[in-house]
Amino acid sequence: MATSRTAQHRQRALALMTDHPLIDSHVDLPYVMRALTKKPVETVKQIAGTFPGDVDVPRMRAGKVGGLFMSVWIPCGPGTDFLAPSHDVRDALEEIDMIQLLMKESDFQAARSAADVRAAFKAGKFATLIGVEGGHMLGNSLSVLRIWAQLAFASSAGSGGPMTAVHPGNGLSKLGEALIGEMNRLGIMVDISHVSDETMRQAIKLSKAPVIFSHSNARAECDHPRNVPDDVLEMIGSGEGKNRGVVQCVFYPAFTDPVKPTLERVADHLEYMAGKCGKAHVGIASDFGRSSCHVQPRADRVDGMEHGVEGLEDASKYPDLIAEMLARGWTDEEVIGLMGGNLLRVMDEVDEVQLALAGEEASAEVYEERTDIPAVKGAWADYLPDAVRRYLTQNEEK
Amino acid sequence: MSPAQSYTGMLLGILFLVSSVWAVSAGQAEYHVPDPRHLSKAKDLLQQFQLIDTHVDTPQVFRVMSRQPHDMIETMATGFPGHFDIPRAREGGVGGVFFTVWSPCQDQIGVDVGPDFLNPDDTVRDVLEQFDLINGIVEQNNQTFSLATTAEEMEHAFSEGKIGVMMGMEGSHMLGNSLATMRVYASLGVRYLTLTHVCHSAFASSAGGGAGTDGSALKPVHAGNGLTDFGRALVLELNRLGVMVDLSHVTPQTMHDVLDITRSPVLFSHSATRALYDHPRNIPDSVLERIGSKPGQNLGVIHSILTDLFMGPGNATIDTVVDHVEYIAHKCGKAHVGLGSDFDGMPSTVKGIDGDEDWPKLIAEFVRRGWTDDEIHGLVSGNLRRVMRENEQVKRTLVADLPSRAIYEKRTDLPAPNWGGPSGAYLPPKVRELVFHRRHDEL
Repeated sequence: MATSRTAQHRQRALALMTDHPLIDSHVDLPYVMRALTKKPVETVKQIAGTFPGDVDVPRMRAGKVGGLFMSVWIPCGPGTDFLAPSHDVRDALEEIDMIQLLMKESDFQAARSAADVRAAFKAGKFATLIGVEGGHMLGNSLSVLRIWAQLAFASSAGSGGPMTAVHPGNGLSKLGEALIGEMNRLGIMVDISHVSDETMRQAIKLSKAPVIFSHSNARAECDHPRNVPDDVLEMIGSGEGKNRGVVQCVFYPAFTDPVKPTLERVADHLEYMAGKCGKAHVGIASDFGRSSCHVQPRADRVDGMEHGVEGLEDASKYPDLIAEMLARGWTDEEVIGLMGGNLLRVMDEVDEVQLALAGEEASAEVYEERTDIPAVKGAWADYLPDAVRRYLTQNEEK
Repeated sequence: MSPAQSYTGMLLGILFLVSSVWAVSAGQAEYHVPDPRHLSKAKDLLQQFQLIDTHVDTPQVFRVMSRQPHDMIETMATGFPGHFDIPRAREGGVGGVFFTVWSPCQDQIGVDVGPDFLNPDDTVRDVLEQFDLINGIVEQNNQTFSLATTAEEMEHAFSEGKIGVMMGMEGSHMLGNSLATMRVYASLGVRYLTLTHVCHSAFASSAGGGAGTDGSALKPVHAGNGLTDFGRALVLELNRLGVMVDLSHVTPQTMHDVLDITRSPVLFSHSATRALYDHPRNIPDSVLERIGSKPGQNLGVIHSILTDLFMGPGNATIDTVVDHVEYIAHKCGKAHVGLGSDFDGMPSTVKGIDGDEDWPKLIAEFVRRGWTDDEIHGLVSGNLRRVMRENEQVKRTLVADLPSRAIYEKRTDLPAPNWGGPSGAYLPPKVRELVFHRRHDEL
């Protein structure tokens, strides 16, 4: 579809973006910082200037972004029992450290709640939130999730795991069900981008709070397994029995169009999803940095060739997408919701669920396949008080 | 009565008095059973002055005892078979504790991290589970416990009639060879890092000799058997973060290397002296001479341990502990002593102490030996709180310092261009260019 947006639409877009935050729910900067240098912390100060890739402060200012979710991502490991030791948790902490340092830079301000985002926006800073892309970084432990909550995580993806079926029904495992409950209790948004269709359905049914698709498009517009099928989109909305979550469209070429991914095609996805869920249930994610465990590189792509959605190549281009939605007849109010109002509402509702669950105890559940707890091997037992040793022996004899 | 008879009478009287004061325990160790007046005075002092125990290992024992460690938390209130629980802590006048975040040295649980400490393992994940467990212990007992991260918060807890809880991390083998994890641990509340447990790490050298070993010193792996360069970066970063550097468990050379560069007063969270008992883990005189209030000395504090293994297994008593404290006081000054029990991290305590309830018996011995109220105040937490404040002050003076960029030189996983997918397909074009040009240059 050829564009009908004009310079006037763009001006209106800029005006709206001056007064209302656009929140990009998925920016993959941390892993790019790690790819570039042996000492990733050195790149933190460089983001304020021209930085290789799609995102840096000058382009974010030009693009009038109001806030962003920095994605903590490390590659998926092999294996289907998920028990092999790895550096995953350590690497995730290193990314968290980098993001925490970035949040202290003058252009950025840490945020966890909708109120925090608004405060940062008012102060002229980029509201910075943290999202974790993949439950594989949890080390199979609900304790780790609780620590992420303490480190002020606003959302956690259900899974960046392998696509092959590893759980009966290819949905949530037993630990996964406990995970959803715990995320609701902690006020962490359940992110069901990347997960299998069945996991999407189960998570939506189980979650007591609105969910988020942090970066997904519509499968009906672009047939990719990563995109959201119609029956799942129909579970999201304002109607009776629906989950009041948000679906954030994404600028990722392979999920946008197999032949010609353009800004207009992204707008098509937005319109389609808004058609299914309602305009109060959509938002925007760039996936700048381009991270995904599932995407196969396009065979026709050549090194050095421009890749990225045409028209949305970097952080300076957001106003063009907003202009396009205005050109397609979206009202100011609808656009304000699309840019960030809908997501902020979801964040508030997720926090309300957290409050409502305040009396609930933390889940003591442990991944059933683990054999390392109780921790009786070697040194764990060497330091036991004699009285405890006697107590344990007595109880064994019972 | 003749002078000879009255003299004999006096002798007999003295002998009788002395023997009624000395108790002979089941073993050969003897210790002063406290005079009721001294005990009463001790209890009064503990009401007035906050006793902060810098080393209590109870959380790790929960993990040994149950598949779902959080299920053990209730025993903190109902009664725990080890050394520490709330009823006994209250009875013993405990005003504050450092619970330790600990996971064993990998070689002690059959995990081989390799000569460069690089092989992956579950330690960092297990460490986060221990943080979570301590949070749970505090939350579920929040009528008694109050989580603190500063001296002032500890004092505030005490003023409200609660027990202040802080966290100390016992061993740099838990850092995953990364200063970034240390920054995250600090943001989770850790306020001291013991540089090693009983194994060497990428940062420092350990004295070894823990429970279950033959007590001999570890064979060195680092040149000089002290800090590595990466360890030096860690110490400076700990100063910047306001996290106390704890020198229990490390080799004397590590102690000296730290004292050479640290900008903050140090802590020994649970130690004994080598002059009184020769164990590789104990502090030699050459190190004690560097701690004190004189010019050129480090203003740190040395907390004495209650583990009999390091002071004479089977023989050590309450008196032995006080002997070690007095030795340190003699060498460094009474402003540089404190108490760190090692409760629930040792098979057996010294004779006379069964657990938290027995602190008054220990303090009574200090009273008996003539320590003033002020000196006892310093001993039980005044000295520690001063050291904590000084560490916090150094953190403030270093506020303009950048976080350390240092990376363990033996890592091969950074930079991580292979994270960019096949041929860097996920990377933005400019980034891919930079990454692949660099590779080309390196070839």
